[in-house]
Amino acid sequence: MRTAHIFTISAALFLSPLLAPAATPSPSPTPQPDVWPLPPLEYFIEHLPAPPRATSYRDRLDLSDAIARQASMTPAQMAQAQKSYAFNVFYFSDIMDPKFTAKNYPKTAAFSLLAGQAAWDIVRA
Amino acid sequence: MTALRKPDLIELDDYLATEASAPVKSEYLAGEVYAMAGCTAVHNQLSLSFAGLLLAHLKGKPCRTFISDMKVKLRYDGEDTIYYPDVMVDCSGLAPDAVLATDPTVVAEVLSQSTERTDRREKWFLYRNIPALEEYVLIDQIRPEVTVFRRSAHWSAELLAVPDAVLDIPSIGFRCTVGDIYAGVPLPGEKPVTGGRNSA
Repeated sequence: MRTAHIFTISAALFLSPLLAPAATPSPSPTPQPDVWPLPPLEYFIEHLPAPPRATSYRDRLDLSDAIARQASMTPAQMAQAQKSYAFNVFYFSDIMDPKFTAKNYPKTAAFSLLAGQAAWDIVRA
Repeated sequence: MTALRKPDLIELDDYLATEASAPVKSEYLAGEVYAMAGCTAVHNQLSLSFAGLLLAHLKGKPCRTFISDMKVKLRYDGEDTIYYPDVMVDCSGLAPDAVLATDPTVVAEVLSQSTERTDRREKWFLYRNIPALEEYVLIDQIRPEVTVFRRSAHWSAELLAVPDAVLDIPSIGFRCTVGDIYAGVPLPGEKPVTGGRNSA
């Protein structure tokens, strides 16, 4: 669940500058937390429902489900899961360009790292 | 020695007795009862569309198609569960006055925002414990997309995401395209999908 939070927030943080109107002047080179276009809290409550009550039957089913899925995963699926866990913007190199790497785009890598750290701060808050 | 149930849990027989005359359908999970939300027009239409295809295919054959009002009972980890699948095929010869099935061959659920997580996780896990079940089908109501899980494929997912993709259910000798299921059913914010064999 926490990985899903990070994935969602990191993607939102990274994509938000791309979605802004081109004519809008940027008052500061560093985006400030109060202008990040994050959805309201209700959005996350609706889309990330509360987990089942601890030790309840639903909780046991949830755990059994996760174990069953792990047991049936192929090596390729496992590799993809590992890749998703260590998410950063270069995750999309598969579909953008094999040359889209942190080594070739150090400034993007630095920004992605910053966005990821900011996302962790939000999750921990 | 008999284990005592928590006082706030409901016995299966009490649930079944109440459910027979309840104004709102509820599902039963290990002594807890969950009221079911009403469905949307597209949810209802997709259930009916898929059930109609199955009904036509199974005419004159021993297997029968059921839709949303028929319960399925299953047992896992010493606990009983009762669900109302959106569509179900039973080949066990249910009596006309049966109120629940225990051995469905095919179960299908139409996904909605409020139930998708349960359909993809909890029900995927529990249904596969029914020995008779061979296929579990999930029908998306946002886009023309069907996911099928088969016992013969160790319950791994096969995603059918284009209208011409063929949904194959070998346990009952059934085949249709994704377009067949969505034909004439307007999806939210989209024009009706056409192109299925039955949409001409």
